[in-house]
Amino acid sequence: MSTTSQRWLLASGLVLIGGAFTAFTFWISANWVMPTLLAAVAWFGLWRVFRTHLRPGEASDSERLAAGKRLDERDRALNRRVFAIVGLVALPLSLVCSYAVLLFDSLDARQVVHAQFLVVMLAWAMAGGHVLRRH
Amino acid sequence: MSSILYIMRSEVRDLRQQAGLSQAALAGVLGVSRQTINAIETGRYDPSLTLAVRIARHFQRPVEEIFHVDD
Repeated sequence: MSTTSQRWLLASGLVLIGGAFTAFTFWISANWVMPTLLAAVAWFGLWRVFRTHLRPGEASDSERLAAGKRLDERDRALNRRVFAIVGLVALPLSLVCSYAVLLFDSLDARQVVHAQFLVVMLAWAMAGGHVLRRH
Repeated sequence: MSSILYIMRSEVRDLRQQAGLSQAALAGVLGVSRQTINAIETGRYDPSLTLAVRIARHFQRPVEEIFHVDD
């Protein structure tokens, strides 16, 4: 069996075992519908990451960007641009939020961190879309 | 102060078609993805100096004959 086939088998096995274990855990718990859906989405994402790393030549730009697989200089350039945009959004936001929490003691720091997390995640996705459209 | 925008055009598509190569075949020779060749041909991506030189060597032309910078 070739090395690629062995890697495919290992990746498939890990995804299937993980999926089965997660589904079983949620099935025996009280509320299993939503967590199972979330787990399915997560495992589908993981499967795409495995597939992209194993067959990068067949993957699209967005799949390679999402999986962190860099085939050539353009992939590295795309990654750098995305991180630059996310950094430009995240750094001032972090400074403002941190200062706001320090200055106004009454603000709920937990909510501020939740908002920061959401903004950074959204910025990441939007930066990826923007960079792929332009380059 | 006015800003100057430089736009790079390339002859990669014409040269590739003259050589009877597909984007995937040229990408394979240069060790890059097919999407990178497409992005260079459509002007969405300016290759690094290294890649530009390798493209020029592949087509046995000077770099400046393949890549042009317009003001």
